[in-house]
Amino acid sequence: MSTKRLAPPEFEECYQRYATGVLAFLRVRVGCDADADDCLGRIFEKLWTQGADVEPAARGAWLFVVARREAALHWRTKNRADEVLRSLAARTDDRTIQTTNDNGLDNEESAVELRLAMNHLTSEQRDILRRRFLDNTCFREIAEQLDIPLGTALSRVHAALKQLRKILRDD
Amino acid sequence: MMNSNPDDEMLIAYLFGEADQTDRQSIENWLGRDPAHGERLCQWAETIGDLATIYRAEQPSQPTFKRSDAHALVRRYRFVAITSFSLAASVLAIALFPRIAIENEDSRIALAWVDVRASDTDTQSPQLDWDGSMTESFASTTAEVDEVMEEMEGDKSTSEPISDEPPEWMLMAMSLMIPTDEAFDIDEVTP
Repeated sequence: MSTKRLAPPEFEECYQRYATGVLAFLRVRVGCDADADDCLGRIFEKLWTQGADVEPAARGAWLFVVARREAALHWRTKNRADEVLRSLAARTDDRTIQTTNDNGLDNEESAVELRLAMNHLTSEQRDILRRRFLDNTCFREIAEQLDIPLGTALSRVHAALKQLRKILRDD
Repeated sequence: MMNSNPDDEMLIAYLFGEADQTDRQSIENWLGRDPAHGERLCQWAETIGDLATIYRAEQPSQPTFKRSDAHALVRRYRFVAITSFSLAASVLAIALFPRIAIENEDSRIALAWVDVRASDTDTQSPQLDWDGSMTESFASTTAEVDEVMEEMEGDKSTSEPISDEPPEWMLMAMSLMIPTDEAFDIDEVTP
């Protein structure tokens, strides 16, 4: 897969929006502020070099998935505090540690499963997801377009994501 | 919306970059309190990432043509382009040059004939410069005519005698070559 650099304005927007949250996430995971800062640097370096391949709607999600992996790798490479590592590993899904693909589904099988799972969603749920991911329309605008409250739009997305997770977990 | 323990909708809005400033700060504080909070956020993040991958695959890719593509194309087809151009130029040259040569030869004969006729009837002496020497242009023209005449004489010995009257095509060519205001009657030239 070809990788493209993220445009500077988009990078800056992502940094301003998520850097504090990702750093807070890393600090409690890594346990050391300096190491968390190092991890944060690597994560945003990845965003800079690979971010253009990530859907704009999913860049925040991508940052936290990458941050979780970076935290796990940090512990693995340092190979210290086995007890903390074990507790973290228990919290962290094995799939996250072993995966090598930052941009979503690990293999074609998972993609097929998710596509099938999407058939279980209502047309209203699929419509909102399509508008958000394909048209890159924000939820506030989607709510205006559909003439529904913002909370309702978010509830539909939440219900859709929850259902997808449930179906995939049951499989 | 101030909330110390954000709900799932708020987390989803945050991951989509649509949480307002207050919600964002609330979530950032919440993330720093317990690793489990981050894990909860990451589960939503994973599902969103997977969905993004699915929708990305559905998006039609738009072909773009960049400057670098153009350069690559030129590099790739440079040899073919140069070869084609050379071939076309060669064909054009072969098609045009014999005609140009023929036209030059015809013009030269026609001019020589006019000069010869003029020298037969004209009593004007060669133009002399102020120091008495022959004008260079006149001399060179005369020498050139002599040369052509010699060639024509040579041809006469081997082929049928040249008619005293110029052929029709030559007169037409002459009338085309001479400017309109200096045009002359063909009958005046024709002996």
